Amino acid sequence: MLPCFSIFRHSPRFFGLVGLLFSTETLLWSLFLFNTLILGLWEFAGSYQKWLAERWPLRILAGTSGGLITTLAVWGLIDFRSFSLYGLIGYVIWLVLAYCFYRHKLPDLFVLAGGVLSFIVVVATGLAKLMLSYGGTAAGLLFIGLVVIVLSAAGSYWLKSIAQEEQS
Amino acid sequence: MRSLSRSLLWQELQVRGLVAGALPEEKVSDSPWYVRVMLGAAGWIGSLFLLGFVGVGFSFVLESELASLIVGVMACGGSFALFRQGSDNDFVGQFGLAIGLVGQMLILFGLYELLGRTDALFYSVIFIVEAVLTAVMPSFIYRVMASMAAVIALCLALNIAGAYGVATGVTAAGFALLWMQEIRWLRFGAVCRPVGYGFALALLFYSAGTMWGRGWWPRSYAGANWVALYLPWLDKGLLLTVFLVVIFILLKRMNINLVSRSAVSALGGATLIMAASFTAPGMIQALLLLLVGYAVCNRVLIGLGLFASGAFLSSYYYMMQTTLLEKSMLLIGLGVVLLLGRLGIRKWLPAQPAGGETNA
Repeated sequence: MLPCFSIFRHSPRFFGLVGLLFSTETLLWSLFLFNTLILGLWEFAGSYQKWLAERWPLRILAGTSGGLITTLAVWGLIDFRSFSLYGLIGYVIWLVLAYCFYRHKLPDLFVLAGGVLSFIVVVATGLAKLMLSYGGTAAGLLFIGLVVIVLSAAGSYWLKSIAQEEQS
Repeated sequence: MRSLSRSLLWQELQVRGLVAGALPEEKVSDSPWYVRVMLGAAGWIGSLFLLGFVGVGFSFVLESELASLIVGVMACGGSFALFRQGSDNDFVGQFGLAIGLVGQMLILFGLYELLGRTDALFYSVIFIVEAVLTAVMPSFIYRVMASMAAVIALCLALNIAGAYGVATGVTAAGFALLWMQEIRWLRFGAVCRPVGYGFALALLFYSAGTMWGRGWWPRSYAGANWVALYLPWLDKGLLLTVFLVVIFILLKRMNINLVSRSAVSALGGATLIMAASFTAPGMIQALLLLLVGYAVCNRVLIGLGLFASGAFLSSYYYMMQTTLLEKSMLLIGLGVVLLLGRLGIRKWLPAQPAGGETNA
């Protein structure tokens, strides 16, 4: 937590308002890379040291990492002039890696549930950008609402089946 | 849970008159809380788009308060029917949640247009509506959200009525009553458990709003009289009373003698914590969540309490009008006191309750 705070406190954002958006993106990337690096190292060390394998600290790290890359992806979708599309590319890579690791290597329902929510947020943002930027229509809003409901219901079904697998 | 322990537990509950009939079939447990949180958040996102659909496609609904109220009630009715008919179906459940939230927002919008934002009557009516929805809607997630809205509406109604020092204490008392007497409400667990979480979230949300922006919550000042002067202290007093009552209940529940070392340590520690957090807004609420969470072995409450403690403490640290050097000294001092306290507890208190310590 404290290193994250340190990155935030000493980021270029504090050196003035010039290039604020670029600095914000740099700050988000720095925090994301730092959290993901620590997460990777901790998961690796946890496979060798039992006392490091406690799940909740790792889940908090994974949640922070996922939240940051989701923010970058959403910003990349909404404001692609100020934010680069690297966020979206990084998001896809993060989602695939997280799925492979936390579904097959070390099953963790918490991270998978976070991934489902993050996917719903990015899809809804992408659809809203696509459909509403060319004149919002009632049908478009209804469609996005239904997509969100269908995705969350499918996600719930999938997560429940994994939970049942873990219980049995 | 093994079948043997399940049947033993069932027998014990039968003896105490809490359940009746044969042992029900074992079924796969409900979703973990984080899956429910995911579903709740997704339901909110979906409902916002659906509300946008109603606003754009049926703009006359939002233009008339009566139409908003009627469509809102109809949406809540539809949501109720969906919950009742397809409680096991993920899609139906999620659709019901989104429709229900749209209904809730339309009712609130209609009431807002009808009664006005600054009227205590508006928040009182919202409280009643949300309380009814909490009682009626057969959905865990919906009940958590509706009960949280009900408690916050009650707090705001009290604020506008001039009793702004009472809201936090009332919420804390409700929260403690629900969780500490959970066994009493076991028969109504389907309603009381989500309401318990609603109280916890409302307590934190209301406290956060009070701390980070006093302009967040509407309130009215009764004028420079005795009541207006001392009501803020009543807020602290009520909170501290709830905190102490919870500790007394725990000591009584564990059959610990009130003059024993354990009891004196617990009460002394609580007094120290309360004194230390007297000027730090939100800390007592966070510690209450933590204490109750430990008492009822609820990880969600413990997690919420820990998160809230960190958030309120760091906010307080930021808000302190002192130099960084003084803040650093304060942090070092606090760390040393806490470490010494822990050392003292380990030295002074026995690891296992010895004879004479408890009445068990």
